[in-house]
Amino acid sequence: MRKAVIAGIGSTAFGRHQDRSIQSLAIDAGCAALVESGVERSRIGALYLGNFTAGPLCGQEVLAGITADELGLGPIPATKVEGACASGGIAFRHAVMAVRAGLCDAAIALGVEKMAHASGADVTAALNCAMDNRSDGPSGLTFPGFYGLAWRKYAAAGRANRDDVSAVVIKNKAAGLKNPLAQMGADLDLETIAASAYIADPIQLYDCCPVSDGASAVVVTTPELARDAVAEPLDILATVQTSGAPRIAGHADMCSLVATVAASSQALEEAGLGVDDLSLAELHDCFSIAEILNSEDLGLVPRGEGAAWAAEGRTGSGGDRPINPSGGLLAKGHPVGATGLGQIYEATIQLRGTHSNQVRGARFALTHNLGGAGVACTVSILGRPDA
Amino acid sequence: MSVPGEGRLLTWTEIRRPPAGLEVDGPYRVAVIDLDAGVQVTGRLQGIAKLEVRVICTRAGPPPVFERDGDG
Repeated sequence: MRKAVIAGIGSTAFGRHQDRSIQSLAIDAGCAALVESGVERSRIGALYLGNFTAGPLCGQEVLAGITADELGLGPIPATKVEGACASGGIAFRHAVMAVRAGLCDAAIALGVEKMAHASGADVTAALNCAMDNRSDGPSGLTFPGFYGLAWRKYAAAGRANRDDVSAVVIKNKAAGLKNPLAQMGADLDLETIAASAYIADPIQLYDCCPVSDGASAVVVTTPELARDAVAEPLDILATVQTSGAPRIAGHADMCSLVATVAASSQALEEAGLGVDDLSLAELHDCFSIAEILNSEDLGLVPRGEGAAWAAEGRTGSGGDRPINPSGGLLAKGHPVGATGLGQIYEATIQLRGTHSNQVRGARFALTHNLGGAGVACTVSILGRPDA
Repeated sequence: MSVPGEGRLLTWTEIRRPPAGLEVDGPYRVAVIDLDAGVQVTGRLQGIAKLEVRVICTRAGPPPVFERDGDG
């Protein structure tokens, strides 16, 4: 297979874009990525777009075709992909596959979501489409509830009291203050977090990522076509997609998701790397406890140590295993279909060495994007060309 | 196919922010039960209970409703 590289990235800020259409957010991110890539639009042979809630919340589908048309890409195949919160990561993987397989010389992956205008109950109902609605949905479960179930079980083993988990919230919210694209950075303390409203016990307000609008895009191409890129192209060492049980009760252990475990081991093997080679990870912290569980599933942190490592600062940007220096979903925001590409965007800036919360000497970065109750997952590994 | 509604409480949460359509139900508790028949299910939990106690299905649903079984 041919080698594929990242030639350009683009992103809107994540947050509330009250006066913007979902189409214009996608166009902004796509334009920025195309310009940065130096790839002529006539060379883009495919567009993959990740989105999850535009149907119910914006009354708009066919966003892939709309975006390709307005970006001036001509009559290319433009495909929406959907894997709930992993839609963006899946879009990226498909762009990489198209280039590697030689179906086209360049492809654009784009993710977009617009949710912040809708009521909380409507957003929750739209996101609940990511559940198996023969069982979990009718029970009245929500996604905060899913992670509340997991946290209570995890805590029963004596591994994660309120303040342990708050270490993740404090770390990511502080990182968000350094990220100009972040929606909700904050300087928080244990007391403020513990006093916040309960959403789905033991999940409280600050354990949840915000509801966000935003778009991110990445241009994937061959090393030859990336020669005119504004910044040095980055190697795509691995991009893996997996699936798992759609029901929370379908997981043998609710504190571990098979899709993440499998994606991580396959991606590391594809890249020929071990976890100790990774300079940083941008992982799917839709809830505070999710960062802890995911970091263990990915093999970044030993089982049962996720909360302790955060509390000891080991997962901070200056620690030995940096996790979510962007602020993650908790602080940067979670415009569902854009999130996976937002992670690639953040990892790319880290590997260029120009991030506002830079991990010193970053060479290899892992991104992890998770959908539904562990039903869809992608893990990608990027590297500096000189690494 | 049906199986006996008896099993063990694996975990539960209290939903304080229900989705659209279920607002009138809230707050309510959702639990994962490990049924003796060898399958895990999601359902509502009446009352409050420690993890691992015995529970029994008191309404078939959907959603099924579970309660603590005797002294558990």
